[in-house]
Amino acid sequence: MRAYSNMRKPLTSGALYRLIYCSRNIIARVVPDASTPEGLEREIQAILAVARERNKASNVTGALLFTALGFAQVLEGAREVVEPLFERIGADPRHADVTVLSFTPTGRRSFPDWPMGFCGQPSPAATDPLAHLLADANFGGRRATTGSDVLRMLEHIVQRENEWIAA
Amino acid sequence: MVRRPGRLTAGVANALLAQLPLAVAIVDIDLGLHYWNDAAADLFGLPPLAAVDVPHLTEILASIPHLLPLQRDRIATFVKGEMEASNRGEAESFLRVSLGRERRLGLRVRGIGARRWMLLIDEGRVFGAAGRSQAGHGDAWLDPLTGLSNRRHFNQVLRDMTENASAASNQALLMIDLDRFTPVNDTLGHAIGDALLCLVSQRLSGETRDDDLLARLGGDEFAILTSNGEKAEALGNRVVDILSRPFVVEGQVVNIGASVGISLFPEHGETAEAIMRHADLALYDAKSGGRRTCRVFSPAMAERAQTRRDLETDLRRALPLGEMSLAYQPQLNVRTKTLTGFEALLRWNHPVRGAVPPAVFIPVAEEIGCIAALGEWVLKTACNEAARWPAPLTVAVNVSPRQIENSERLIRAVDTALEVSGLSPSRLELEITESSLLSKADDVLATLHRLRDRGIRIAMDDFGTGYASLGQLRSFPFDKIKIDRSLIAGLPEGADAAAVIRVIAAIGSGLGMATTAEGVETSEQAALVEADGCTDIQGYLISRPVPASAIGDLMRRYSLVEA
Repeated sequence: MRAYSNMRKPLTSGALYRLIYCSRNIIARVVPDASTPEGLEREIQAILAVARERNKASNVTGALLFTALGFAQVLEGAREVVEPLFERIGADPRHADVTVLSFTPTGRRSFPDWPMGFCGQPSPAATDPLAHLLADANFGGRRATTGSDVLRMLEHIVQRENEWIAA
Repeated sequence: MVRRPGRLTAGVANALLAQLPLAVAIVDIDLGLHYWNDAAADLFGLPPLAAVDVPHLTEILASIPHLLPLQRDRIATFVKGEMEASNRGEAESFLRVSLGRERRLGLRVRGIGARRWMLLIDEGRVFGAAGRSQAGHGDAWLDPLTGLSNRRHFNQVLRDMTENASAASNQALLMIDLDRFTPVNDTLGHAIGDALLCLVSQRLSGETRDDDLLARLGGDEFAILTSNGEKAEALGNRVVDILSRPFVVEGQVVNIGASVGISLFPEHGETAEAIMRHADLALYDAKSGGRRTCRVFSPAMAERAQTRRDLETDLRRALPLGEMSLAYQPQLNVRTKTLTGFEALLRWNHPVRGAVPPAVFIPVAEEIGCIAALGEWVLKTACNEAARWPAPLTVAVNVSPRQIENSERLIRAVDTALEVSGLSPSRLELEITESSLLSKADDVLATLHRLRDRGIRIAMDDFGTGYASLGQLRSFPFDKIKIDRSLIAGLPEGADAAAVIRVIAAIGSGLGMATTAEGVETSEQAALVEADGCTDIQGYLISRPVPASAIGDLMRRYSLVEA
């Protein structure tokens, strides 16, 4: 948008922000190929490949949790990069009920080494770690979380497990 | 030697025509092009003459960027119509078509004999468009903030579409209104509001096709004109979805939403005005249906709107025509069994409609802004009436949240009513609802304190339903809590209702507030609410609301005046 870029006030350039969101997974509804486990795997890998490529170029880091129910993602980077990036991610038809859990300035990156770390749990597990988050989001209002629990969960996984696919 | 002006040779005429800065083409009855000059070649993107077979006008039009399908149809229809008109020797006319946001085409057709017609097309830039990229404003057809078409251009294209009813069909108009945009502007500032509008237009652009016209009509109002009428509802639902997703802008998270109303052309109207009106009605329906929805126009909506308009018209003149009256319902102290006062209730008796319930007309009065005038009349009439009653009988008047919002006017009305009637302020009770305290609570409390400082009593009405927050009872020293009739209706069976009534009465007692049980219909209910601790009752058990003329009888029955 021409007018938008013209009218923006001078920014505190490069201020580091962290955005955490969760959303409901509707990939299978939108992408017919993703209805099989293999197709889903391909779709997720494609999402990650695009994300990592793009994030490396714009110095964005973060992590993505994918479960049977939905997504939770942390994005860290300069505010003027994170805002348009989320504008694109948020509008993606492959998820719904997108809820921003937090969007705040931060002093340090939680995932400094990961253009987009990933933890996948595509098959229905005993308990879906996103179940309560998505229920709250669906309920349409007060969030039981500010995203810090999601952040801790993702940090915990990245330290403890070796499921991560190095970028 | 005498030189005289004369006819051109064919060669000179040909060269002149070729270089004329006006697009000229010669067409046959089937719209095949047999000649075009350089300007026409530029405009249509045509190769040199003789390099191609005779091209068809509709194919050529299809290759012009920014020309909408409905405009192409309109041009073709115009050209054919003009051919026939020139055959009949009628005067030629002129067609103007807007092209994209910046240019427009003017078309003329002139018969040149031998079943050939000359097509004259001049291409003009819209005033101010040339300076747009430098100046960033001043474009008559563009919304300067978002770069979308503005209302003026939108109206132009909509007229283009509707004036060519025969060729254009299956078009749809989507009216889009953002939900909760005003609070964003108010709380986060106009800079963020403007940035948000730009993101909204980006998202909308992502959902529309090149052929669609996307416009910002003003404020937080957008419109899409699409030639894909069958898919309009799907598009509307996508718009609702995409605008309901969160925005992050200037370091803030903003959640808004959108409502969409759709009307189809020519199915729902054949003029630009009808299409707009019907899309607006559908939008109104979507908004009143809880927002974040998309509705397609239906004739029932027009009927509902007409019914509603009629009601508004009647309501506006009800007061001057003397159709409004007050009925008074007595309130009884359960311990002393004496009357404490009356609640004044507004009644509307329309000569044709009959008695219109307040639940129907009060919300309408609030919406169309005549609640203040009605409220003033009620205050004045009730105070005049109560001034004739023996002290200390009180009169209770309901105050709408809309009236409290305009505190100066309300206080002035109260002061005037008391002054004119001579009623002591302690005998006037104002009943407010919980919803009055939901927004701008500080302002409302300040207003209530100013009223209470005058000695006027303040009652919390309809308590026990809705939010029924105890915090609200602590926020202001109410003189009275009126327990909602729905709780009393649950008696004697409802143990839950009885428990709630008991708690409210106990809290009222603890806070030094009277508690009135509303809607008491049986003596059994009266005994129960008395046992539960209520101080007063009101309801059919004592009396229905009665006209002022019947108050004397009620007073005699309760021995307030000599028989």
